[in-house]
Amino acid sequence: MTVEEIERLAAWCASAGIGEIDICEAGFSLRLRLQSFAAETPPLAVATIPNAEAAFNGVRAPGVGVFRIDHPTTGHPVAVSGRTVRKSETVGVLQVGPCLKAVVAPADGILGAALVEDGAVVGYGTPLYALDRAKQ
Amino acid sequence: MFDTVLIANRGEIALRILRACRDLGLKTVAAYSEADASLRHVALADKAICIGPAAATQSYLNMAEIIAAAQLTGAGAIHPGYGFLSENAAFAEAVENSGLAFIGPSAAAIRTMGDKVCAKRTMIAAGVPCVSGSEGVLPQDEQAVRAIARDIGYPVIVKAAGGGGGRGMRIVREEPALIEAVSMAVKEADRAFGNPQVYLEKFLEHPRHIEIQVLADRHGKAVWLGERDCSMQRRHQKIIEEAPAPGIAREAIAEIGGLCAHACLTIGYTGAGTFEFLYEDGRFYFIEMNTRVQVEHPVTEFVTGIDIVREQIRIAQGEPLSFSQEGIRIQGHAVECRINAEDPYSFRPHPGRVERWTPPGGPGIRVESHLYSGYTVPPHYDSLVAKLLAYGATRAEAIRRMRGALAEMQAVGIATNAPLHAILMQEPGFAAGGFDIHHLEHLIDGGLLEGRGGNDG
Repeated sequence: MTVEEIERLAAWCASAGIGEIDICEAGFSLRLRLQSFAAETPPLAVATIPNAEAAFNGVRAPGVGVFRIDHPTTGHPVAVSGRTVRKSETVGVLQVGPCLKAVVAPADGILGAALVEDGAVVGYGTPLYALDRAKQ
Repeated sequence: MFDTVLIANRGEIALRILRACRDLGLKTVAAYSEADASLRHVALADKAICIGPAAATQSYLNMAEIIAAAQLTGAGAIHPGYGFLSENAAFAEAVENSGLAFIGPSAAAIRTMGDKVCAKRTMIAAGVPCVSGSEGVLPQDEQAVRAIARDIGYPVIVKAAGGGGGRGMRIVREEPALIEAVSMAVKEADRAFGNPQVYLEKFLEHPRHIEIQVLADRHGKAVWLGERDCSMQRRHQKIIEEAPAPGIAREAIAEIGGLCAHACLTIGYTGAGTFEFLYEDGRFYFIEMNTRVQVEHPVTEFVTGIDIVREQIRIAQGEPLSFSQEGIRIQGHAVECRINAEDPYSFRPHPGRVERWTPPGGPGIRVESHLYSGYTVPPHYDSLVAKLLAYGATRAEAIRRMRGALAEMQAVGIATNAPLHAILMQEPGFAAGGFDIHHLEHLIDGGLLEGRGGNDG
């Protein structure tokens, strides 16, 4: 591991809010402990919003678009809440003009309720469905 | 005519654009990356939409997502700021083809000025002085190469036609060394760029970096707003800029400024732009044009009283310039220090959480920054976190105010280069003004930073 890589890792830890990290590979181990974390003050309200969203592990929008629960060409719902879905299964559609983009499940599980309304404009990463993930 | 502008940038310039839009009564949409949800302009914009993950290639450089975001949020125009897609002709074209306004010049003008060989040819045709050199690439014939170099006058520099980043470049001071240097450069260029073609240019030993700010509307009017001296650089990155340039006659600036404004009309250039020159022994040599708003534009705003970003947006709305060349007066002196989140002595980036941000203030001080207490500077982007500007009736007064501002500024939790700026504000060469672009590197080589926290950079 080069000094640049360690610097990048440290910066990444700082931005991700990680205070300590251990890396072990064959013949090599590294422990990084970020000093500022000892004196961490409670984050401001504005910072807690993305943190709460970061913890979300359901289905997110893969990009910007208009969220469609019903498929624009068939008119039928793309997925049904309460049903078991598989990883990579299409559970919704994002529409940008004439283009459609598939919204896929990130893991196997039971699809929860839609979190935004049909026709809503969403951005990258917007939570779209809750997902009760299947146990590995 | 648009009433909503999508801001396709981040940090201080995104906030600057938002404020200009607000002054004009326009609504704003912040298009931000996943790492930038907590940016100030995202909170202040009328709408905000996340366009992708932290990596710029998937967010701020993602043309399709940015254009889709504009269309879905009802924006009629896109402001690209600086960096990212601001000088990308294909993006400007795609924006216009989507029925949106690109706040900047036409795709054709960006393309013309983006190609260095083409830009130089265009400038020569428009009567703007350039560094003398060979017409295109060098021929095989050694006698012909010698004749070209003699014509230009030594020292000359051999450059790779397909090159960049300093590779394949060779400085030649006397004729006996010429042919070997050319053949070495050819080999190096072939190896590095897969293109063995090289050309010759006059090598300037001690140039200053002087640039001319222009504004051109869509009604055939173009003006120049004076110059900026950006000679304080490290590794080709500007860190201090000022206006006006110390020790250059106003008549000389007026002459080159007039040529630049005229060149805008020749190229069909509209919007804000900057012609960059090297300046040595009383002569200007065009190097390149920046077809966008620049980081250091507030320096010019201070001494002219003209809001460049607002004018840029008005021009994109099809409005004529509201002032003439005769109405532009350069008054007083302005200095800008770029505050980067980096170690002031090793220059290593230092992102992280800003526990407490206390910007300076007082007469003649302007701060352009997106920082606030509790904000975390992400590691993914440029390290510029603030621009401190000081204005005074004289250069000495501006520098004195800057010293005070640097001492007042506090960014607890991250390292910044403010201590380096404080050293430079006291440095005799800076105080005298008129130094060349190698000044800072020479100071550092001469031990300016030794014993000040370790110069291990």
